[in-house]
Amino acid sequence: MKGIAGSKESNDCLITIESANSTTIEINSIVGAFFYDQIMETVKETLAENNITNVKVIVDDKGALDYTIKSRLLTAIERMKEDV
Amino acid sequence: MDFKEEILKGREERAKLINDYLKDYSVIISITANMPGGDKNIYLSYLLINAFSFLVNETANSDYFYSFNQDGPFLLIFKKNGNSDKLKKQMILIEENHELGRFIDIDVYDKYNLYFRENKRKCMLCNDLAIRCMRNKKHKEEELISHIEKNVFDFYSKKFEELIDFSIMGELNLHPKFGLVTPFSSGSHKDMNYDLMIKAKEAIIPYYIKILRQTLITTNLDKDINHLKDIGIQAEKAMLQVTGDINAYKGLIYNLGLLISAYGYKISRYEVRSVYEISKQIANRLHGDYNYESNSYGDQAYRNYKIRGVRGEALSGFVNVQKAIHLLKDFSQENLLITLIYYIINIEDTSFLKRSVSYNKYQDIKRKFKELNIKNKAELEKLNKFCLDNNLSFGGSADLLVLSIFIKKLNHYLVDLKEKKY
Repeated sequence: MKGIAGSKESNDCLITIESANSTTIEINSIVGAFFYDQIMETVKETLAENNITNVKVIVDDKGALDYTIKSRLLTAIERMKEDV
Repeated sequence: MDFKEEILKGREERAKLINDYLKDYSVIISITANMPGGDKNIYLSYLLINAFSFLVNETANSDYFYSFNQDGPFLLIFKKNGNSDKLKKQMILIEENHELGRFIDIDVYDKYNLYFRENKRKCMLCNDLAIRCMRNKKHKEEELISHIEKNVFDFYSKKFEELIDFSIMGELNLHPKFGLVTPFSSGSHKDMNYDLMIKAKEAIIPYYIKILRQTLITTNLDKDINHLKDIGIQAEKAMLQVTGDINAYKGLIYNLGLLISAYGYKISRYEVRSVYEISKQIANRLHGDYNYESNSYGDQAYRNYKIRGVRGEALSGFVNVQKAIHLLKDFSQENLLITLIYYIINIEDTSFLKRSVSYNKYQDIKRKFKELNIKNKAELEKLNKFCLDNNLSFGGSADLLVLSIFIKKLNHYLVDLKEKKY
C-alpha cells in the first residue's frame, strides 16, 4: 500500500508513504541544514496522532511550513489506506 | 475544508496539470505569484503574473495556458523542444534582476525534473533566510503585502508613464504631418506649437497614472465610472491651465484614458477578454446612451451623416486600431506615416470634416490619401502643402496613432493574455 501527496514546488513538499516492516522516515530538504529536526518532529507527531506504524515515509521538502508538511502527510496516509 | 487546505489542494492540482502537459511538451515554464497570506487571488497576484507575461514573447511562439485556482493565478508556457538547463538559467537571471523578481516564482519543468533555484531565497523584508522568517512568523502578513503592493504600484506607474510619454512623442515628432503640429511646424494650428504640445503632455500624464491606479484596485467598474470621468475632467483642466485654454490633447485624454482603464482592469484580475473588448464595455458605460441632440458640431455631423467620430471608434472597441496595429511593424517614420494615413482614410473624424467645409470635400481629401504613394517624396510634399493651404488637420487620426504606438510598445512588456493559446 502506498500513498503520495504534495508537489515539488517552492514552499511545498512531496510525501510518499508505504507500508513496511518497521517505521523509517527519510527527509530530503533544501533547508534540512536548518530545519531537519523540526520537520522530523512534525512527521513523527502526525504519525503518532493517527496511530500509524510500520511505514516508510519519504519527505521531499522544498521549504514547506509545518502545517503544509502535516497536511500533505495526512493526505498521503488517506491515499495509502485507499490503495489496495 | 479550511482555506489552507484549499490552497494546498490547488497547488497539488496545478502540479498534476503540469505533469499531464509534460506528455505533449518537452519543457514547461510555470509562473506563480509569491503571495503571503490566505487569499492567493488578490489583485496583486494578477498584477505580478501579468508583469511576467512578457516571457510568452521571450520564448518565441510559445503556447501557453493562463488560469487560476485556490492557490492563485498561474501562467504555464509550453515548449515543444528546448534546452531546459539553459532556460532555467535564464529564468533565474530574470528572477534575480527583474524589479518584481522577488515576488514571483518561475519554475522550469521537463520530463525528468523540476529545476529548483539553488540559492535559498532571502526574505523580502530583511536579510534573513525567507524560510526562517516564515517559520518564525517574523513579519506581519500586512507588512509583507504592503511591501509587495508598493513595489508593484511603483513598477506599473513607472512603466506606463514611460510608455505614454514614448507614444505621445512618437506621434508628435513625426514630420511632415498634413497640418498636425510637428517639431518644425505648427501646421494648421495657429494657436499651437511643439513646446505647447509638450507642456500639455506633461500636464496630463499624472492623470493617466491616476486612472491606471483606480482601475487596478476597482472591484466594480460601474460604480467607479464617474470617478474615472472626473479624473478625465481634472486632466483636461490641468492641460488647459498650462496651455492657456488651448485644447491640445482633449481627444487623447479620452481615448488613451479609456485604453489605460481597460489595461488596468485587465491585468488586476482573472480577465481573458482582450483590452479592446474591455474598452468597448467601458465606452458603452460612459456614453452608450448618448443622444447626439446637442448643437455641437459633432452631434450635427452625426445627425446629418451618421458619423460618430471619435466616440464611435471607442464604442466599437477601437476596431480600426485593431486593424492598423499590424501596419505598425516598427516605429520607423515610414511605418508611423503609413499607420497615420490608414486612420485618415478609414476613421470618421468630425474635426477633419469640419475643416473640410463640406462632406464631398471630406471624401475627396480621403481619396487623395488613398492615392498617395508615400515613397514618392514629391507627392508627399505636395499633399502636405495642400493640407496646410486648406487649413486641414487630423486630430482624431493622430490620437489613434498614439494609441497604436502605446499598444505596440506595451505588448513587449505586457501580453494581452487569453485563457490559452495553442
